[in-house]
Amino acid sequence: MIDHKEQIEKLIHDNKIFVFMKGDREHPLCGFSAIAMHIMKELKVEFGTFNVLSDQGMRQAIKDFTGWPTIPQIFVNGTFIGGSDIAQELYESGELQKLVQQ
Amino acid sequence: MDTIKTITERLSHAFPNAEINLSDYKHDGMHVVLEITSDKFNGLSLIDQHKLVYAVLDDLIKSNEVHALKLKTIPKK
Repeated sequence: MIDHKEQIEKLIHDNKIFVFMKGDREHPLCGFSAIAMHIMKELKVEFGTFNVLSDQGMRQAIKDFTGWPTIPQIFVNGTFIGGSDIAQELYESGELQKLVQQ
Repeated sequence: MDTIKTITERLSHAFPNAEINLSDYKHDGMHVVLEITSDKFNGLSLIDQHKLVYAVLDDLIKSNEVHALKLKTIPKK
C-alpha cells in the first residue's frame, strides 16, 4: 500500500513548487485549478503537479495533510501557501514572486 | 437558495460585525463568491484567515452543497 503522507512529503520537497490539482497542467478540470496553472505559468518557474482525480486516496490524504478542504493546494519551498485565491492574491501583491526566488 | 441563507447566517454568527458580500453567480447556491471583512482576521496569515472561514462552512464544502467557493478575506482596520 502506498503511504500517501510519505509521497506528499517527497513531492513537496523534491519540487520547488508543487500543485495538487484536478486535471493536469495542460488540461485543468476545474476553474480554480485553471487559475492556479495560469499563475504558475506566469511565474516562469518549474513546477510539479499531481492530478487528485486520478487517485481518490491522495485526494483525501492531501486534505488531511494540510487541514485544507479544497483543491488546488499549492506548495512553495515545501510549505503550503494555500489554494488558488491566496495564490492569486500573493501573485498580485508580488509576494509569490519573492517566495519562489528564495 | 437555502445554502446561501445558511452561509450568511453562519458567517454572521461566527464573525459578528463583519462586512459580508456574498454572491451566487450561477444562481444555484453551489457556486459562491465571498468577500468578508472582519477584525477576527487581524494579525493572521492568509491561510489562517481562510481556514477560519472554511471551518464555519466545513460540512457544506465536504458534502458538496457548496461546490465552488471563491474567497477573499480582509482584516478590518
